Amino acid sequence: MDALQLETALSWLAVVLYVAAGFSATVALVFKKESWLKWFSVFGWSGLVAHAVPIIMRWVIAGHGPYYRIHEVVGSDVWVGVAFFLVLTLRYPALRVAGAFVMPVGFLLLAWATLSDPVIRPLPPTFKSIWLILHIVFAKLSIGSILVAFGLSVLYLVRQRSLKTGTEKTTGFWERVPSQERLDDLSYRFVAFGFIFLGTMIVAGSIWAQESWGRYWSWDPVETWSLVAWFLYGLYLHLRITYKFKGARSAWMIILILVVSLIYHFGVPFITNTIHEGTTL
Amino acid sequence: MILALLSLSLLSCLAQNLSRWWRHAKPLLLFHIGLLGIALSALVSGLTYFHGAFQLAVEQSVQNRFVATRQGPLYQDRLGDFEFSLISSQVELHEKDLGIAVDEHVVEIKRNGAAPVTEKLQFNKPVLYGHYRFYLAFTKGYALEFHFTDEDGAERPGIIFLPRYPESREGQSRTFRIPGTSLGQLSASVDLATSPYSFDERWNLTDPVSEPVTLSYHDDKGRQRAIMSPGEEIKLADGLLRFEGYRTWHGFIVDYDPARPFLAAFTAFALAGLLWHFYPVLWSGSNRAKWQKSSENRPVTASSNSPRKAQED
Repeated sequence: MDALQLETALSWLAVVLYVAAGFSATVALVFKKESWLKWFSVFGWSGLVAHAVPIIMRWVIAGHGPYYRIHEVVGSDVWVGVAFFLVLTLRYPALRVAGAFVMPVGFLLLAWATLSDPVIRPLPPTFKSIWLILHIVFAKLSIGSILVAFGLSVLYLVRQRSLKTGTEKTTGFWERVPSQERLDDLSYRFVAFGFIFLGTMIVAGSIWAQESWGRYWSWDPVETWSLVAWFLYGLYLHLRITYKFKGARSAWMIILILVVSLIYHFGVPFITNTIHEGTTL
Repeated sequence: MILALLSLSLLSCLAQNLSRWWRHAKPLLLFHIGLLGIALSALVSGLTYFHGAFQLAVEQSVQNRFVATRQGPLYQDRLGDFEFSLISSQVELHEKDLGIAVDEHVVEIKRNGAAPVTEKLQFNKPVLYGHYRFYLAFTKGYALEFHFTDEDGAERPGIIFLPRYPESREGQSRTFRIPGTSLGQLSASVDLATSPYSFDERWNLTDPVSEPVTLSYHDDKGRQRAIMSPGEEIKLADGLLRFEGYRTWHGFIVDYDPARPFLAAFTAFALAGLLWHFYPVLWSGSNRAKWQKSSENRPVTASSNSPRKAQED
């Protein structure tokens, strides 16, 4: 088994472990079996370690970070998102149930990345820039933040529905999960993180483009969509701060922001002619 | 248009609530002033920028001759009669079309009789000259160097830029005319699809090439075809055409944007304001304290944003 085969095998192992973690969280959520949450932690952390190994292996073999081609970009984005979420669950163990929503996004994206062509290609000369590294790092952090905010928002909506229909008691399982206000507040904070990270990503990308091609903004489709996403984050924060935009409406808007973020990050480069073709190869 | 409307809305809001914002939300005020500054800088940039592209073969100079330009309506040329020379090139490419490995060029720039500046130009390392920046473009390829001597002995050197290489390696041909002659259009083509490189290993674009060029033209006897190796010459109706050989060419970009420093300053200003605003929300100890751990196994009822209230709960 050569290094690339081992890397692919470990990536699939990470997919399986993430699926198992998502399944455990789903069982805990649906059947109110809190004991299953410990399996979520076991599978989730094991998956994160199994996922880190192929990323590091590839980094060493390729001689550059995970920022060129689908295999590297999407895989490492998922790692950052899952790591964000698992670290949060260390502080709020009951939030592990939100893994029922975070993990499916993670394992589907990772499966897509693993199925893509794993061949390592040399970096173009324009990629050898500190600004590109900052651009990529903040892109991953922004995706990670919004993924966590999404998980918290869906958890909010699910519990609200249960409480509304009167099918769930307000004690027991749900009691251990942070209150609705707390979930709402946490998701707001992660959107605020995402807003800063996304803004920094756009700025770093502009400086890199200026350094490489002599233009900092060219209304490239991915640039434009990232600006749309940033405005959407900004709109959310304005509504939140100015009009006390909270609760279910806030949760739905966070879901919309995640969808737009996924579109600009993983969709637009495939359907348009863009200079961000590094993520489509 | 959307950016302009957003800026107008923001400006109105600032004008209406400036003192209140200053008293209660200084960081957010700075952030929004930064955003307005970015929009204003972008507007100034759109009115005053200049962006030009030109191609140059090794050991060739160019004076204000661009293959494409874009400029703002208020742009005023400060470049003058600049002369840009490509002294030498080093272009190495990865095997199997995997892209550029090394792309370095030594260039010389001079303007209006001033002392020339010699610099090494690379990707991510533009050459600054006055208020202008010179960048490498991705375009590159081979050029054919000809020398035409007419019947009066006057000499006319010329360089024909072939299409981009290796991207267009299947179609390396160009048509051209020799000025001041009765010759019509000539066509030069060369087979560089499989030779001189195997493409299975890393190769240098700047290595010497000696492939013969096929020249097609019309004279009074009809259509003619000649195959010329470097150093060979043929007799044409109006004189002698000599094929000197190959050079490599590269594309360059020159960019001018007086708003760039302001844009950078306002961006830094806006980011600083944003971080100042969110720092207490995201990182302060009192706020972290109110993120009560759910593992404490008790219902969380606090809804106030006040850290003290949350701690009491």
